Order: sequence, then structure tokens, then C-alpha cells
Amino acid sequence: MLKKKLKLIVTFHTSSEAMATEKACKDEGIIGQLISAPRELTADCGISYAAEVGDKDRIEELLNSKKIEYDRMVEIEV
Amino acid sequence: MKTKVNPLIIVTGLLIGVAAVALTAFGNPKNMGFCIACFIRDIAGTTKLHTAPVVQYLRPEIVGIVLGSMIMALASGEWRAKAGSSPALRFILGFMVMVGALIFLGCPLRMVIRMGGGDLNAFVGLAGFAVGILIGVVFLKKGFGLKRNYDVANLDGLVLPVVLVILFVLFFMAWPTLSQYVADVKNGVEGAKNTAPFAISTSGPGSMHAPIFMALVAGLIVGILAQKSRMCMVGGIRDIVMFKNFNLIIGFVCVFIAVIVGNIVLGNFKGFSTLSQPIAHSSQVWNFLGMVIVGWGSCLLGGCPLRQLILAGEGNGDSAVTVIGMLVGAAFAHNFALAGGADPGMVDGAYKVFSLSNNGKLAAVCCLIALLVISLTNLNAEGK
Repeated sequence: MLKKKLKLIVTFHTSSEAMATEKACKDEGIIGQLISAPRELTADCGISYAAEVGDKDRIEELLNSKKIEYDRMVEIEV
Repeated sequence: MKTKVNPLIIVTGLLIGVAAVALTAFGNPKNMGFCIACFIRDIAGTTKLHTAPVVQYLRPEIVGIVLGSMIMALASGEWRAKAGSSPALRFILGFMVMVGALIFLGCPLRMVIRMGGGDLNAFVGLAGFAVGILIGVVFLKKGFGLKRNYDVANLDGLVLPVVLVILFVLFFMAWPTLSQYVADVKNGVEGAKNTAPFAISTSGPGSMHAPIFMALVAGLIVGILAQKSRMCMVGGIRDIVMFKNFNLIIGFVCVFIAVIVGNIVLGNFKGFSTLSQPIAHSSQVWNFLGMVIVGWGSCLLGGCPLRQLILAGEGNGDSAVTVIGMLVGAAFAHNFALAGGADPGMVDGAYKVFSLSNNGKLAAVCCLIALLVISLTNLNAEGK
């Protein structure tokens, strides 16, 4: 059984927003990865971005400055 | 393997496989316990959007799947009317996915069911399907995206379920007349006439079906489970390629296992072969390319035909538009002779392979070009 870890999950309206987020975070040195959107968060099978909880403010600021839309930012165990 | 497997995806895959084998045992065509593309094509036929006489029947499974998804989404508070995401593109993508599926003769779900029935042609289809998804993933990684959707009036999200229920009720009311007509034709009654508003097949795949309420209940169960588990044939391969996540593909494997075991138990499994497979052809170039279209188009849409029905049940108006695109695509596929057909089999001592019409070949090439154009013209700047 894999151990669950608390992560910051960012969900999006479109897959291109997810791709743009990954690229922007990578450029800023923020550690994270694209994952299939967790079922607990959404019935959609879209793409979401998982990062460390401590990076929430940085990511929020980054996405706002780059005008990248997102749906929600949630802290859950995945 | 880093995947956390959701047990529900295993249950869903196994139950879909069992339901498919059971529906076939009770009357559905061979290796076609479930086929979203074929069943939507049959609905296009019974509503006279096309006039191919052998594929006309209102498949209750489709109604059940959409309603099952809706019931589960309502029960879990996930039903939400949404729409507005590139509707015309979704319509045409649905159209093309259907054309590709009918060239191959099956949606991704029937492809797996055919594989479990020993049809090696479906393995060629799987290769094409995977290639199509890989092409789609390349464009997703480059920033492909249809526009976002928005909350809309609840009525918008109810359109497809309500239309399907109305059609089903009308079809059920007409059933005594329809079944009498079918019986008259089969008994050779002279001057047999169908006076019902729906068309009905008296021979061919459209004439083969499980009892109406059994098919409806099977659809409901699949709809409920697929909504909860997010079962998706395209998502399975996409998630492996993009995230090394094997959760959804396990559902796919479970369908295969349940179907092959079910066929063995019922004595229907005759080994693996490309020849004389039920409602299938061994024209491999077109099996492959048909499923490239399905994989690529479905990847751009964000889900396979089954998933589109589930999303439509959850209130997604864009998926409803996609399903209507598939319905129109099915009508075009038969009105313009684009669809594949079964191998003629042994003719004058030699096995004759089905030959796709020139219209069908041209349509496949046009679909591939159109998919490339749609993929290239919807790359968003951020992802490039």
C-alpha cells in the first residue's frame, strides 16, 4: 500500500492551462508534476498539477502574474 | 508501478465484461454486448437519419448509460450543467470519431470486447487506437486545448438525457407494432408493413438484441459504475503515457479478462484468428487507420465515446453536442457508404476480405487531415 502524502493540487478548466502551469513552475524552480485529476476532487478526468503545500502562495502569485486561469487549489492527501 | 489502483475500476471493468457477455447470450450481436458507436449508429437508423435496413434499433443500453451516470452524479452531488467549450469543434470531432469507429466496426469498448472474443483484427485496431492517442498526447503536451466551459442553466445539461428518455418511451410504446412487423417479415407474411414511426431491422445486427429492460438495466449499471470510477478507454492509455498512472488501464484489462473468461465458459471462444470474425473485417490498413482517428479524436475531446455519454449524463452540454455529432456521423457513414462491413468470407474456395469503399477511404484521409488542422490551430501560446 502506497503511503499518502499531503499535496497542493491545482485543477484547471482546460488541459492547456495545466501544461502552461507546469512550464511556468518549472521555469521558476517550483517542484511539482502533472497528474490525473484526483477522483476525490472532480468527476472530470482532466489534468491537474501537484506541488508541495508550502509553495501555494508562490504558485498562486505566479499564475496570477502569468494570467493562467485555474479552477481550484486544494490541499489533499494523494 | 506508482499507481494507486481504485478497486472500483476493477469492479467496473469486470462488470462491463460480464454484462457484455450476458447481453450477447440474450440476443445482442456476437462480440457486441456493448458498442457505443454501433448502438448510436442503430439509434440513427431507427430514427431514420440513415436508411441502412440492417442497423435500425433503439438501443436501451445507451439510454441506460446516460441515465445511470445522471443518477449517480445527482446522488453524489456531482451533477452540474456546464457547456460552452468549443461546441462546433466538439461536434465535428464526435462526427469524425464515429466515422473512424464505423470504418473499424466498433468503439474502443467493442474493440476490447472483440479482443476478448478472439478477434485478432481488434488487436490491429488497438495498435491504431494507441497510435492515435499518442499523437493526441503530443499535441496536448504542446498546449492543445479546446476552450473552457462555464456553468449554464440546468435545462442545458438535461437536454440529452431528456431527449433519450422521450425517444425510449416512444419506441417502447411503438414496440408491439414493431415486433409484430418483424414477426410478420420473418414468417413470410405477404404485404407486411411497418406502420410505427420508427424503422426496425428485420435482419442483420440491428435485429439482434437482448430483451429491452435487461438491456436498459445493464446500461444503468454500467452508467452508474463508469460515472463513479471514471472508466475511460482513452484515459487509460493517456494516463500511462503522460503520468505513468495505470489506474484506468486496469479497467480496460478487466473488461478483456471478463469477456474472454465469459466466452470460454459459454463455449463461444474458438481461439484467436483474423478470419470470419463476427461483424468485423480483416482489411488491416483500415482497421488501423479507423482506430487512429478514434484515438486521436477522442484524446482531443478528453474521452472515449463511453466517457462522452457519462459526461453528458453528468450535465455536460459539450459532451451532449459530441454525442449528437456522433449520431450525425453515423448517419453520414451509412448514407454515404463510408462504413466498414464484415468480410464476405469464403467465396469460390478462397477467403474474401472486405474492401472499404473509395468514399470510406477518402473520408478516413479527410478525417486525419481535419484532426491535424484542429490540433495545430488550437495550440495555446502558453504551452508552445
